Amino acid sequence: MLLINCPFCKNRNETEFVYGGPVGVNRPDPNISSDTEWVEYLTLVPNPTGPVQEYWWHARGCGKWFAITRNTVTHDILETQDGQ
Amino acid sequence: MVDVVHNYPKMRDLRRRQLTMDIYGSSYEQISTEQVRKLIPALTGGGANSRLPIIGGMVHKDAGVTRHDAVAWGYARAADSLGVEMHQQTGVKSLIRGTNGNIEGVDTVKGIVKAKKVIVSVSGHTTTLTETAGLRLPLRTMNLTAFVSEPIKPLVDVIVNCSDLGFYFSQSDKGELVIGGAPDSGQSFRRDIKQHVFEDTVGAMLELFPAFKKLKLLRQWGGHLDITPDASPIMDETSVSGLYVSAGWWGGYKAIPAGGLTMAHQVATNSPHPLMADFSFNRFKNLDYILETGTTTAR
Repeated sequence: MLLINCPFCKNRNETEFVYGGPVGVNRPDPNISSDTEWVEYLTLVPNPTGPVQEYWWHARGCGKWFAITRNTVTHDILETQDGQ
Repeated sequence: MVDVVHNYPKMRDLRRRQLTMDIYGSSYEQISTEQVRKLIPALTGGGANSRLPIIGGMVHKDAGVTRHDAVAWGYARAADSLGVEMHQQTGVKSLIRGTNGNIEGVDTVKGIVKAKKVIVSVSGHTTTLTETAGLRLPLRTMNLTAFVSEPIKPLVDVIVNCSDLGFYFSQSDKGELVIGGAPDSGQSFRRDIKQHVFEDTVGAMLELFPAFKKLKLLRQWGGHLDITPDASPIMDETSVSGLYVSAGWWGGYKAIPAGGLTMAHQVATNSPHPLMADFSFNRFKNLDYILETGTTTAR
């Protein structure tokens, strides 16, 4: 079980959160990006054996969306980034 | 294989899949709750007064249970007798590309092996290896929980899949119940299970099979597997000439005898086998996803 440091509620159990997917690149402008860039944006996500940035949603808590940097091998949470 | 169903949207979806599978001549049928209980006498939970009553089931009559180790070792022995060299305990550190960009071999912990053609079929670590050749592939690695009970007398002779509660199991030849749960949230290479996922799985199982409450669990593990955006595997040559990938086998080893045969055809003839032609990298370029009826994630 991860102990996730919600920016608002501080440390809470992983079971209160919903995983929101890996943080990819920013959405390219579909009007100026090529098909290849657009498909890469849709299909490619980082899959490192090490730190990965991902969104979590404190659904059964304060409702906040934020990002954490988590090591995919050790599951250590290295950093929490407050969202909007 | 029996799907135990607890809600009507799921039943409708499985009925739709039944019709799809009918087109291809596979047998998949809806059965009543009474028939489910007759096929699985140990299933005593899930009655009318339970939290999630069973409303029916689906049975795949063509499906069977094989022992995966026996299949793997059968292939290994046959390959060995045909002169194939297998190097166990020899980790591959990286892929080697020549000056022209084509694949030239692999760098292992025991030295370099040169080859004109290399297939990467390493399950969850596919991207770890292909990154060393400068490739980015549409794969994410997830961790799947599994555990095994102490051996008991023959009790269940089908695979029981209960996706509404989130668990599935079958009984092995040795009598152990082999139980699996839902994948962990987020990408993971940890090869271990999380306590709350384990508890959810056990809780779901005991709701349907209260008699299993006294069973001791012998061992647990997390298997990491890579998943593609459409949850179907990739069998194709990559953009690096001579480097092939067989990956995204989310959902187990069941299709691998066909996967191995068709992959060998591709490597030997440099053209895709008709059965696997759709499982290419190009389908992502055109966003032309494969919508398989039976993948684990689609369930």
